[in-house]
This record gives sequence, C-alpha cells and structure tokens, in this order.
Amino acid sequence: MKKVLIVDDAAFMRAAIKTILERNGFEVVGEAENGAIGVRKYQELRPDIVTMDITMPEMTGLEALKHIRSFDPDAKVIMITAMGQEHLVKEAILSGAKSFIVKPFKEDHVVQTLKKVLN
Amino acid sequence: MSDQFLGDQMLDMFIFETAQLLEQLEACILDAEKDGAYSRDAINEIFRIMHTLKGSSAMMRYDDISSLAHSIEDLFYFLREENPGIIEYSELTDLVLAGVDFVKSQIEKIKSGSAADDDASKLIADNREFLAKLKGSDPAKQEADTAKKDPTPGNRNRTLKSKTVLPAGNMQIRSGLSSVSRKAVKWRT
Repeated sequence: MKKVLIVDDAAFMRAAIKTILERNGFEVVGEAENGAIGVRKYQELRPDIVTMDITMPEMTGLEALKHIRSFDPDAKVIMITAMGQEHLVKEAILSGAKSFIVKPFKEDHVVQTLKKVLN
Repeated sequence: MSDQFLGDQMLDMFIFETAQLLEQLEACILDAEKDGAYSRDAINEIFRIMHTLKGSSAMMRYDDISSLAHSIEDLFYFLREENPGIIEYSELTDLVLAGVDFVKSQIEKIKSGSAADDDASKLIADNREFLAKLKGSDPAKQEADTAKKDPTPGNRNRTLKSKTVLPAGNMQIRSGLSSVSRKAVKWRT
C-alpha cells in the first residue's frame, strides 16, 4: 500500500483528500498544516508521495517542495492548487513537482494523478 | 463533488472550519480598525483566509460563496503585491464585512438544512468595482498621469508629495467604523 503525506493548512481539504485516498487503496501516513511541518514529516515518515497545497502560512508549498527535493531528489510531490494559480504551478513544476491537481477536484482525477506519478 | 463522497462529516467540517475562518477574519478587521491600519500580516492573513474559503466552498459546490471569496481574495492579492499605500480603507472594510455577513447567512441556511442559494453577484460586482478603482489609482499610473497633465516640474513635485503622505506598508484607515462594520461588531458580541 502506497504511503501518502498530505500537506494543507485547511483541515477540510486534508479530510477530503484523505477520504478519497483511503478508500482507493492508499495509506495516509501523515498530515501537516503548513510547509515547515510538511518538510519535517517528510523526513520522519518517508512517504511514497506527497500532496502539497501551495498557499499556506509559515512556509508555502513551493518552499516546502524545494526543501523536500533537496533532502530527497527523488521525492514525488503533487501540488494542490486553486484556480488562478497557474503561474505558481509553472514554478512548482520547474522546482521538481511531478504533477498538479486543481481545486475543486474530482475523486477519479485525484486517484489517477497519484497512480500515474507513482508508476 | 458533494454527491460523490462528501457526506455529513465533511459538511460538518466545512461548517466548523468556515466559522473559524470568519472569526479569524473578523479579529483581523477589528484589530485593523483599532490600530487605524491594515498591517502586512493582516493583509496576508485575510488573503489566505479567503483563498481557503474559496477552495473548500468550491469543493462543496457552494459556488456563490466561492466566487465571493475569490473576489475578496483578488482585492487582498492586489494590496499584498502592489502595496498601493493610500486607499479608502473604510470602504474596503465594509466590503469585507458585507462578504462575511453573506457567508454567515449561507452557513446558517446550510445548518438548518436549506439550500445555500442566495445570490452573491451584487457583492462580487462591488468588490470588482473597488478593485478596478484601486488599480486606476495606482501610484505609478498617477505619477504618469500627473506628469502628462502638468509638465511644470515645481507643480509636479508638489502634487506627488501630497499624494505620498502615507508610508508604504502602513496603510491608514481614513475613518472609523462604518455602519456595516458597526453592525458586524454588534453581531460578534
């Protein structure tokens, strides 16, 4: 079972992603409410994949992505973005993000995106 | 999305988190009113609150809440990025608090099991209009306009000076609580 870390400052979003993933055969090993905690939990838990929100307090998803990638150049990070953040998505991909999911998302799309990146 | 997987538990979480966000938002606004200024932190915080609300309400398919939050997010994105310095902050506060009132009324409807179907288009239009006004009074543009209108160096300097009385990053509120914000404060207590 693939291990996932969910990084998002909104408890609602974390719960939505967790609900989708757990009933599609993923194991959510950890959750973080900002980028800094996300980086720490990545190092601790070594998940197979990370879903990373972009706009967060303390440390943004973009910064956290860069920290995680410098710690583990093979890290698989998928950005969760809102409409209107296309310019940030480009920067994220250039910084090593494997893919992105735009809110509001559909269950199938989330599952397919993670599976594609993991394969 | 809600028909796919978001059951009662997600709805409860949405209501709970939205109430928390609105509380943080009101605290930010009240502090700003008290200090007579919106700090950089307050601007960032309000931007983030609106961004979160936009995302979660879109997931729940409350499109009017989401679009309204988006329009306020856009306002604070502009303030954060452009730091325009001198604007009508009492008007801004009124717009944000009108948004808060709308979201609260929708949340009450959701809690009581009714459809959250009020129309936010007037509020969204007000926010867009205010943003357009802010963009129109962009200091760089003003400077260019002033230069065009009055090429005399002495006059130009005087005009610019009078427009840049407020230091960037310390945005002043021009007047006290407006009628809308008074209402919101009353509601809060």
